[in-house]
Amino acid sequence: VSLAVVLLLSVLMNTVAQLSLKRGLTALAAGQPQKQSIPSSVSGILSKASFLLWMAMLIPSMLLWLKALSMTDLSLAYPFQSLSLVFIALGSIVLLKERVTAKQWVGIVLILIGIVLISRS
Amino acid sequence: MTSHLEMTTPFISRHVLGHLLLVACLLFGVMAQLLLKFAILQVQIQPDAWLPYVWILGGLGVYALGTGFWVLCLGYLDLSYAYPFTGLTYVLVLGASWFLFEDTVSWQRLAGVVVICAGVALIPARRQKHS
Repeated sequence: VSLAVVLLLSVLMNTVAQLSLKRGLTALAAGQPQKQSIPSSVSGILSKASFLLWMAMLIPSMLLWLKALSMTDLSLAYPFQSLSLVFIALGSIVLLKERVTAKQWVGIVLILIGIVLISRS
Repeated sequence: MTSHLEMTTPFISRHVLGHLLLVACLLFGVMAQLLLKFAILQVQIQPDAWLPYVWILGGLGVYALGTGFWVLCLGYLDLSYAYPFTGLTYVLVLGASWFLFEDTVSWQRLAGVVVICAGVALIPARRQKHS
């Protein structure tokens, strides 16, 4: 398997894991007695599903990350973690129809330029 | 979202505690990566030994602590303020792996890391002002 595939898959799964953890914590907080913005049964199911998805994504992403570290330098592999920001930005545009500001576009382009530079080093 | 995670702080200000948690989160995040790489190198040198797998577990534990510090930190600091600092981990990891693992740092790799840092600093969204 090529290094690029291992790195990209690991970072992509890690991104999904981070988002599901955030979703799980948010759902848990929303069902707490002092807040109760949603019924606690709904919050329970939502947070349980999110925490399951979190683990289901985190474990393979970690194994792939270890695989990547066995294939190359840490200083080459680690910067690829910044792609998770690009995945989040693209995901929020495509799935949530959110707007990305001009400043954020510049950030995304800079990260991609950095990734290209590093993958050629 | 993180309001329920806030703790009362009788001795130090919330501002200071938030920054301490931020520094802890960055350092633990970097240490976790160094431990994992160190462990993998050990596995490659001696595949039958069990000690490297303890290092891997240690690395994962440090990673989990770093994540915990991050979640706690966001109870005290704004995400849009705290996030750009995570860009520092790319510089720290580059420096540490040059120093500890003798990675070759070409100008492309150095430039790539600097450019990524700048990109990371630009991404976080300002909190929306509700009218």
